[in-house]
Amino acid sequence: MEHANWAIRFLIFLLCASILIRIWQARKGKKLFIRRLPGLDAIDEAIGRATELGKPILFSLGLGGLNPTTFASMSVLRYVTTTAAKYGLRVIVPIFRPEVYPVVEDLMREAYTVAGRPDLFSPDDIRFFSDQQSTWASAVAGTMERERPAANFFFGEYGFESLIIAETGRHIGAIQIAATVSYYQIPFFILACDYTLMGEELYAASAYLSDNPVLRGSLVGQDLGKILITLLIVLGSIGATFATLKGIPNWILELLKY
Amino acid sequence: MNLELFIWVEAICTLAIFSFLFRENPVYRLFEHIFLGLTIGFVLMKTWLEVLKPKWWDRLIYCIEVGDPHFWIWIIAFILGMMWYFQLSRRWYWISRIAIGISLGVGAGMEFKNQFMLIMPQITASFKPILVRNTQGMLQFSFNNFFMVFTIVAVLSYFFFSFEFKYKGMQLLPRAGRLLLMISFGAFFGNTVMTRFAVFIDRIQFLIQQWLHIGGG
Repeated sequence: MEHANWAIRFLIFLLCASILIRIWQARKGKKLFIRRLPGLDAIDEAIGRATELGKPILFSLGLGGLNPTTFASMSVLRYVTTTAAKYGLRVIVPIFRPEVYPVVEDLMREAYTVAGRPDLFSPDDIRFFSDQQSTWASAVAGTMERERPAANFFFGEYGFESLIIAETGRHIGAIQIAATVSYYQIPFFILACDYTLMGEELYAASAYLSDNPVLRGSLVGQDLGKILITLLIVLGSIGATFATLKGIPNWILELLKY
Repeated sequence: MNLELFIWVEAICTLAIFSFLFRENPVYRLFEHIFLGLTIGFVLMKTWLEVLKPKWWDRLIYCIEVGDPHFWIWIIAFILGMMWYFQLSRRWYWISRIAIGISLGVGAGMEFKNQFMLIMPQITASFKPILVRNTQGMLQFSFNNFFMVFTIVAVLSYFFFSFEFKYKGMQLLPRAGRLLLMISFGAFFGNTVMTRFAVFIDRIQFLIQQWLHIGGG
């Protein structure tokens, strides 16, 4: 799509407006409702388990670069690090993309400081291994075996290495929580992890835990977008049915042609 | 001779990595680190040969050679790239944040367009006639199309986060969405397990036939 037509421009305007209005409302202090996801309770449970055992936490941000999924995962990382720091726990973060490294370092330094434990922050716990999937997976698996974390978090985008790392985590007996937008990897996480957040639940978790008005507003605004798209699909299908029965063009499809 | 040596190296690497299945051990650790070192070196060279040299260095040199007055654009790219390295300095750390900010802005803008290019064709492709007439197997086509549209709506309803369905009848929709998602995950799982076994069988075939020279002709 090089040039959108007026109908698509209007649709984009509606979607953006709904998100921007909700962000504005959230910033003004309006409490926007987000339903509680079952996997979220498990995050505190996992940190609690690590505290009891006195072992570190491993938080993987997956394969993504500096994109929305990685940023959503970073919000959860901030929450986990701040909570873990209060209990004196280390958080180990294996990094896949080099450009993510400085952002994570900054975030974790700040999280430890906010928790009142800047002394606990160690740059050595943020580890860039490789940006080749199999090498990264073998390094993460090796790190798990050597460090023996009590809780593993797998947030972000993943590829075939999802089962390798989640299975190793299971083998060492860690409580595991995964959240990914990579649909092909969700079944492996469901199989090997204690809790799995699917697809957009990752963004919901990030908005819920960070309590950031921009994230909350954008998530609630996106719901309106989803309702619009659902209606569009239903109307488009009704249009397609009439088009087939009467032998006329589907006017909704014509409207969205570019 | 060389081929035989490579086969031995490959077999030892394969067995060293497979040794992890038993437990984490010094041999696995050694090969894990060799693997890490090799890929870092490989990526460094690949980045220079496939990205930096053809897309930056060659163009900069060409612009200077032909006297193009816009050669400074490539100098700016160099400066922006070097700004990332200020991460290593506590005093000048803030400079790297400018480069990070620019990357984030560019990434967000590109993602915005990408998402629409990805989603719009999917939306229009899901406009399916729920009643199909004048074709063989019209019942089957009609059911398939209805089921597809229903699946999309049910799965979308599962991902509404800002409200909960109050009425029991409506609650069935996200539940059906979740169930349908699980069915599709089952299909993904079976498919991927088959692929993984194919890869595993290939490795075992390599060890038995090429390394141990057993069977395979």
